[in-house]
Amino acid sequence: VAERRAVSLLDCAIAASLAIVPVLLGVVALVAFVRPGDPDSFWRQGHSDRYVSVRHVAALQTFERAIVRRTVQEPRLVSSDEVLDGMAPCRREWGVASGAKAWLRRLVVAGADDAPPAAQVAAQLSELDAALLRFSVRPNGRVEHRVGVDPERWFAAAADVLTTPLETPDAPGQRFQVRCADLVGALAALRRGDAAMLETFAWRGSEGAATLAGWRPEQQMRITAREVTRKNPWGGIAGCIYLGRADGSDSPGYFLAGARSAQQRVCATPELVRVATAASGAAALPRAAPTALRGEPGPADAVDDPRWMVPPSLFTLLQPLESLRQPSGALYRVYAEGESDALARGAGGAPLSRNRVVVDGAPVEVGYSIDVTIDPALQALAQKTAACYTGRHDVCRALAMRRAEDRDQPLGAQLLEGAMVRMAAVAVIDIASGRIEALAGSLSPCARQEVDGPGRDAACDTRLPYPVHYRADALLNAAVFHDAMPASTIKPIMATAFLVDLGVRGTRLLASERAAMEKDGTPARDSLRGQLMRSDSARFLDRMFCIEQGFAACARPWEVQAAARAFGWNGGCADGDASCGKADLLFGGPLGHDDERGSLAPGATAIAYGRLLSEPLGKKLGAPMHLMPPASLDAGILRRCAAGPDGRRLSDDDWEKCKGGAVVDVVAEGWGQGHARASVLGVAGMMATLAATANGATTVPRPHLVDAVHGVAGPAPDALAAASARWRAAPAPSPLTRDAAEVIVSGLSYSHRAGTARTACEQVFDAKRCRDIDWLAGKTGTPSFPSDGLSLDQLVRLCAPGAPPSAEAKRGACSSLHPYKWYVAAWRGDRAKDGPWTKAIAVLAERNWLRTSGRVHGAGDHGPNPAAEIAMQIVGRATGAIDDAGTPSRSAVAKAGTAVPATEATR
Amino acid sequence: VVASPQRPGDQRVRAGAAALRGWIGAVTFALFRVGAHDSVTASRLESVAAPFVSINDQLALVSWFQRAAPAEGFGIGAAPWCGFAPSRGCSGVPAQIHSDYTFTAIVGVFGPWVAWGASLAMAIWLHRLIRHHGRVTRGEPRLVGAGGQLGNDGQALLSWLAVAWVVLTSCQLAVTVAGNLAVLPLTGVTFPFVSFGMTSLLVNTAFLALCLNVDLPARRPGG
Repeated sequence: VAERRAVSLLDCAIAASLAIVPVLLGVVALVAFVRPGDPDSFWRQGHSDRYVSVRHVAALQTFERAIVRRTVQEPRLVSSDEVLDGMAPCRREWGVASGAKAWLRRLVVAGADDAPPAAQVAAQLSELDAALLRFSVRPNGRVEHRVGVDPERWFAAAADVLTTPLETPDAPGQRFQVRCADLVGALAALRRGDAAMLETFAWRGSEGAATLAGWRPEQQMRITAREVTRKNPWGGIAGCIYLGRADGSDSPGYFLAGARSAQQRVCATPELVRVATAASGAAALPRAAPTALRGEPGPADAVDDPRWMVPPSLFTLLQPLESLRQPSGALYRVYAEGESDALARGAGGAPLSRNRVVVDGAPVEVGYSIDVTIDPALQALAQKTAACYTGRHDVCRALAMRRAEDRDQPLGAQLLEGAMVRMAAVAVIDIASGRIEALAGSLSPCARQEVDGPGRDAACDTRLPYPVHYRADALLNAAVFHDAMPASTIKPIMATAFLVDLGVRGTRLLASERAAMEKDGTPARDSLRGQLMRSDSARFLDRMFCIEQGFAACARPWEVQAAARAFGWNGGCADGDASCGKADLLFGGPLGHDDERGSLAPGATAIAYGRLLSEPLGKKLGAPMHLMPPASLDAGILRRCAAGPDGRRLSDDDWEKCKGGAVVDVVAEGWGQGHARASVLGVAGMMATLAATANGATTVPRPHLVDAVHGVAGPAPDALAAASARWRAAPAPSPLTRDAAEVIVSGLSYSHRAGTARTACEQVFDAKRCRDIDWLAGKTGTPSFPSDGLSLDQLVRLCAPGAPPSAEAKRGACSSLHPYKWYVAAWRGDRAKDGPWTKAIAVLAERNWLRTSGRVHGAGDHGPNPAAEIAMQIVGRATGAIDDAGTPSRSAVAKAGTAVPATEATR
Repeated sequence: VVASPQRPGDQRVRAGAAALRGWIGAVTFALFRVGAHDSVTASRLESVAAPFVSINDQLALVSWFQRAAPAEGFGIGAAPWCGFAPSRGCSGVPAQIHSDYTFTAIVGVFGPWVAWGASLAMAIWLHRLIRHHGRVTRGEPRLVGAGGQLGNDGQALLSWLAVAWVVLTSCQLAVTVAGNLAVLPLTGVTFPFVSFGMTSLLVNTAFLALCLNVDLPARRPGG
């Protein structure tokens, strides 16, 4: 018989030590099986890739009420007594500690003799107020008024937030309570780093009216969770953005990577570079690793900075692809995790492998990479030329860029700021492929200040008739985010409608024009080619409104409308919505065609492209646009308009100041004005379509920025690369025959030789060379500007508040219209007399004002066209027609050029 | 074998165990009911309830890092402590990774299976250190007469100390692992033997030495 040994406490303790093992296993079970069943559990929330403290945001937002327009100009000093009096709920916590607890704290904690919290809060409030004063008085600040902290308002806001429980959709069912310590933390965060956080907030003065409509009247700033959101630093590496991989080449030349970014280490690795090649079907290994570019160009970049090769706003343009580029993106997850059987499996049925590369020995997930179509060298040339013409004289010197008119002076020396133009935007498209090879945009310093803050530098002319207010969208790449009335650049579209007219008239016109083409020499004045060369708007309007029929029963305006649609304009205008005249920059084509893409495609980058003969719904300004419905136009009114104000046909004022009902709107569209709008890319796309047809193409690729989207090299086929190829808009049928396109391009090829672009050409080349250049075909455009001929002093007088009404003011001289010049052209890269056109370029420039006369430069249709100059500077250097020293080379001229006598440049 | 009737000592043990359970339950209940009145405790509880929106971001960081770690871990010298996002400073796990988040660190370097294996192995090893102390001592420290002198039973006292250390260390292990997994609030309790300032290493090493020494009398002949 064994006597049972008594259980001692020691035995219990030993058993307890053993019990730890099942406890640990229980934790495993709890985590693995129990917690995921709770829909609000940590592990469900664990899929979140961002962290933001609800309490911290609420504490920060108390300053939305506290920061107000300041009434005193000196920084306000706040005392600790004020703080304690105002913050009753925190008095105990922030007051001077006393008693045994305080004694113990002083004994134990080093530095416990520091000032009491109230004193620290008071000091920080004073420092924040001083920082706000500095923030609001600096030049070109973000704020509308000088601002400061009102302690009483902060105390009231803080008292409210301390008593109001918070909820957030990110943690349903949870309630949060702000504490006094949170207020201290928010204040400390605000003044940290000399109040650097102030730069990240939205301020009255740098927000649009739509945003401000939601603010309280006295509210000066807004703080959102976005400013303090923290992203998962282990969420993987965003995919690479490659540039400079021409068709058939085995490696991209460049990729974008910030100075300390992970892309610096991964984007040059063979796994990614090779796939960048494989996505386009080439299988060769890369010859050389691509080079990192540190981001987008800035207005003050050095001339030799490689960032000139990157289009401004490129990240904004590619924003819809972030869902694929970021490993945390929803579309990335779909494709990378193979959740879509249809698209995430290759031809062999193999699931798409996860995108991982090894960085410093650790496997890292990498988002999908993007190949853009930009040609870095051409982009840099376009961007530098735009910068030169907007006042960067150092860039002009580096490019040896000269104008005949300026002789030895810097470009634009006669104009304000020494800038030839206030804004320049350039787009270049490869005609055969539709690849967008350059998107450049630049503002002169004063033009930038007008939209980059509420202030204008003292060196800028205050007489300029432009409102000064912050418009973030105006700072984006003007090649795609800026539109203007296309003016005479629509003439190729109108000519298309004239030539493709299926009736006898069209056939006869085409035959006669082609017969004339066979003869060398300048097109006849009355020919369509001659009218294109001279940009004769009145004769074009004659044709548009069927002068051969006495203007009766004319349907040709609607044929022009249809031609515009065939050129890719007027997309989305059929039903009338906000997308009228817009297109998708990324994959080309109009918006809303993503039915073919399916639901697993990224969104589009909607950009203004082109619209013609459209009107707002219900004719209400600001309403969505739609196509003008075909209507019968009164022949009598048309006849009166055709004769102009003087009532005589074939005089200088034909079709000007047209009056009479609906006809006026259609005539305005025929001038390329009214509601017609186009972006630089849209105009370049129109020319690319025309030139491609002249080359013999029957279908034309739409301009697109994305060449491919692809993952890391792996054994499975890159299903996403195949999908992204499907996302690209299908080539569109050519809107005209090759014969007709050749006629139009032929007429345009005389524009710089004897037409409206001759003056500009002679600024860049010289008269003889311009007459010999037959590898360039271009068209100018000049939207009307009501202040042409008025000086800035006159405008100040006419438009001052309280000024008596004047005829000029009634004509719109005091409106905020800007004076533009257009130029669009196609060129042959080999400068041959014959052969395919290779590139299309469009330039939009905002004219500047002359220093001495105060009048706008290049007024009206006559005179210099800086947009054409910019295009020719770029084309000349891209083709080698202008050498590195800025001299037009002898070999630049056409091989068998025919001397063309100069004629009067009219329009 | 005949079972002996219950003895008064057993009842005391049961009562003590019941009291211990009650105490733990009451403290846990009180923690969740009144903990919100203490800002530090409230923050830790809030962090468990809503790790991605609470005032304390450490649980979010720990969970992100564990989620990013591959099954085999990043490997020695390859763990991306600061993440992959571009940043001037380190935006990754805080410096306390050396002590509070050792479990997470092991997950990052060697993977979750190794981290779990190491934790369970440590728990078993700690238990084995004292498993047979009950056989070498009568279990209660007491005054004993030896050689005409009255002294305490050193073996039992040492044994008690060792057992207490092992139990507390095992609890510490469980708490820190559970904290790293967001099952319990993060408490600032370090992984046994590992701490940023090395105090844990020194103290635990001393107790480990005690544990090893306490076995020695059992190995002496006739001991």
